[in-house]
Amino acid sequence: MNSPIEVRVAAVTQITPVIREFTFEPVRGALPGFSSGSHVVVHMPVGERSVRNAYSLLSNPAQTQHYRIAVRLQDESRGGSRYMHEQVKAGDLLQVSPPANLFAPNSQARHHLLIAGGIGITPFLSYLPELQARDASYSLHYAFRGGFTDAYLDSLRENLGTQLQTYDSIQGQVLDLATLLASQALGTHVYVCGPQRLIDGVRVHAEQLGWPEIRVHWEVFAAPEPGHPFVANLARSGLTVEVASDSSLLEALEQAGVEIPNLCRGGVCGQCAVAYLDGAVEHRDAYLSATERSNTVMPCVSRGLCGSALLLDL
Amino acid sequence: MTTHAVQPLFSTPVYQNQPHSKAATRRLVVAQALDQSPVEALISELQAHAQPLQVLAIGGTGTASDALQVAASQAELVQMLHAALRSAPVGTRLYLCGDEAFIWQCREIARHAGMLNEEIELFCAGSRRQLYCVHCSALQDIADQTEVACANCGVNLLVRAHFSQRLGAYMGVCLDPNNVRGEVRP
Repeated sequence: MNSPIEVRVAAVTQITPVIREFTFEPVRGALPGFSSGSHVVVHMPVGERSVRNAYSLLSNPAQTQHYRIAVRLQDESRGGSRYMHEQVKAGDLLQVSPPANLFAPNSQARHHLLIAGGIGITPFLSYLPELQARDASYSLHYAFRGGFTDAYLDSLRENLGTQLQTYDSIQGQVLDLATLLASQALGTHVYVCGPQRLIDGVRVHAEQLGWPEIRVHWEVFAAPEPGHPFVANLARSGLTVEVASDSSLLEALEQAGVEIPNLCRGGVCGQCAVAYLDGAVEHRDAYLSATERSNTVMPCVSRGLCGSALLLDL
Repeated sequence: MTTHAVQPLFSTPVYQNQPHSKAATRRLVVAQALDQSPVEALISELQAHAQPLQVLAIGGTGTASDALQVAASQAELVQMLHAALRSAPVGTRLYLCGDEAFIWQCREIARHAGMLNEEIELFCAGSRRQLYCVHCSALQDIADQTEVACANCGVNLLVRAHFSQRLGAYMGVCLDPNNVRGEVRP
């Protein structure tokens, strides 16, 4: 597994009342390069625990001197976004994973239809320099709450002109996904990042309109939802791990010193899949098939059921 | 040589008898001839859907309408297909009916217009197919024979089972290197 990189916080900028931008610079050496759509996982010491959240890199991939991320303060934060907003200051040192990319633009697409909701704008900020450099055809549809989650709106307006369409919910402007998706030229790929209901909306409408799945790309960075506490037993090492209600199984395993390869920490990429031998699982991922679910669990989002211990093949 | 059951090659094209029941906003049928057996069944099946259905075909006795455009030749049909694809949105499903040489030519046009394999369904009728000579790169139409002379360079070719989806053709390789063009040896 790639070991984390130590970075220094070079700047902290308040972008909107709930969104803060952080610029990271290397402590030693150079930062690994990254491609459009990449993310890093930031390790945050929150109390006794280490919370790890994935954030899209929003800087230009051609500029490798620094990484930039933007963090929205979540109302029901498990501590990660609150830590970033309240504790992290310029000059602080943080650990981040090397960049990984699960949301790259498709090189065969004739037109890139980008749909962002609020903080979901961040991966597209690293798309735009590449799409513009390639002279690719694209349009960005950006839905937000004006004055609240409309990060980078002014610079996008200036930079994109008519390729930007905005939808401010405060002004009652609605993004009509069915109409938008019904009128896209052959060869279009759609990319969506934002709240779950926006992603679900794009996927459902695209399917109903006959879009093949491979034209539809989505990225969700929801922190794992809390649940009931449960116990996981590790069959091979004999360890017992208690998973608190606000912690994910993956985080609890990491806390116990069991490192599992992982990338998205959001139930999408399939990297962290672990076999289980006994117990009942509440599956919350968007990766495993129904058959796989009978013996495999994605510990980044899924949980054991309260009252029955989960036996993992670890 | 022994004969035994062989798995079809990975490259062997697979054709359908029935259209997939996949969602679409528009359905476009391109047929080499309207009176080929799978075409009529396909069109009546697709007419059961609510979405607009457009049919492009060569010849035939059907009366041209918004839903049916009749071309006098394959070249004219290709022009019609280009035009139909230019205004087509994502959500269009394409059904190609004809012999192999025909459907793979149309498929390549659709792919150039931005369609994906997942959006194209192939219905094969007739035995005409294309052969690619690996020695001179010429394409020629053949029937179901397994040995044929290249119409361009004259090399006697073995028709291999390998099919190039990009070219829409089977590979023809020299049948006998000691007797390339089947010359009578002294």
